[in-house]
Amino acid sequence: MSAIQVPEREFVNKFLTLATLNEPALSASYQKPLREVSALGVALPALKYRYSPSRAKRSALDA
Amino acid sequence: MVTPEEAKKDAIVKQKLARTLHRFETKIAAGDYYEAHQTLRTIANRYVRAKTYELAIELVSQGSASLLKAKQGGSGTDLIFYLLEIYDTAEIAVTDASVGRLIQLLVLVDAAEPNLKDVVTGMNNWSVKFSEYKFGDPYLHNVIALKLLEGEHLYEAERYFLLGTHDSVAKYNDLVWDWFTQAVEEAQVSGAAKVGELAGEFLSRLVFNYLFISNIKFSNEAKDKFLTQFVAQFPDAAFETVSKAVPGQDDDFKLMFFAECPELNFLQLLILTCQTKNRALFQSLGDHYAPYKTKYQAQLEFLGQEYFGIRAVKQANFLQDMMSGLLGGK
Repeated sequence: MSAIQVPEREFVNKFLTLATLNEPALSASYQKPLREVSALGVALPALKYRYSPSRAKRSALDA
Repeated sequence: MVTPEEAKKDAIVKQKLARTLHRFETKIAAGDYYEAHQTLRTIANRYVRAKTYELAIELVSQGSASLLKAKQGGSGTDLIFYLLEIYDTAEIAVTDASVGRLIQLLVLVDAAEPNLKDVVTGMNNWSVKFSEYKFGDPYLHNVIALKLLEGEHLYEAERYFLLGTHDSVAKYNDLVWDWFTQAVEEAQVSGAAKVGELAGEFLSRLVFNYLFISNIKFSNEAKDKFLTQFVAQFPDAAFETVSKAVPGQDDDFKLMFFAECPELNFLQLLILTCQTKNRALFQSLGDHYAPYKTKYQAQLEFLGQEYFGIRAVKQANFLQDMMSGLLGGK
């Protein structure tokens, strides 16, 4: 993937070691209160796939 | 302190209101919707002019509910708009009661009602104006999202789920998951890697949207639920769990490592990287997963700015710069 290809597993191991060396600035349960949210980021592109909520409801009932 | 005279006057007004509502209900039962609607509006106008907003609100909301139950969507939603006008004039604050009244009406609106999007926008605009939330009330958002989803306004529903309550996370997750499974069927893809690519595309919506609003908790919850469903439904997507203790945290960080679906690894590591706010790690992640750095360029630029203080490089617009120079601008 990168210019000098590092195997995926090796990269993940090393990355995790570095990312967990110190206490993270934000905990895994951090959430900015919605009252303080002032920006929503960028609009995500539309998906190329169709979706039918009624079809999803039917499959849930069948399950 | 309410004086006996005031209490008596209040009781008389309430009796009058009850009689008006009874007459209204009789007209509705007789199918005389137009007259019922017009009469109610006229009486409500009188209350508004007299600044007895509480009575006007009671009358209009009950009237709207009756019309909606009688499948008179046009008249029912017209009264919702009128109710919102009264809320605005009376400067009604966002409380459980004022939001609850709108939610009760919204539940009654048919999902196929042509006015639906205008109704929810009107409701949300009121909650933006009279609450502390820049984007509106989260409880209202949760119900709005469900109604929009029922009406198949998918992207609008997504936006409201995102700004909803904790309950909204599971519902947003269900939407993305169901959409993903339908996409797998539609694309008729086979093989773990291709299903994994699709999974990455869908999971990215949950991860990015919650990271955008600095909600690490919901981003993690949504990611965990999606991936748990993914490995349960697609057993060919081989994975192994990698655990790592995190200083200062009770729980280990757990990564579901997918040898054949690097995008899923990338998205999981992205959440952890945002938690660290470590710029070097963010850059290293982007370097290793170069195709996703390109694919999600705009999203990563925003996160770079929010979590790592990286200012996005402005794209040069030569024509604009040249015109600006000619006109003496800066």
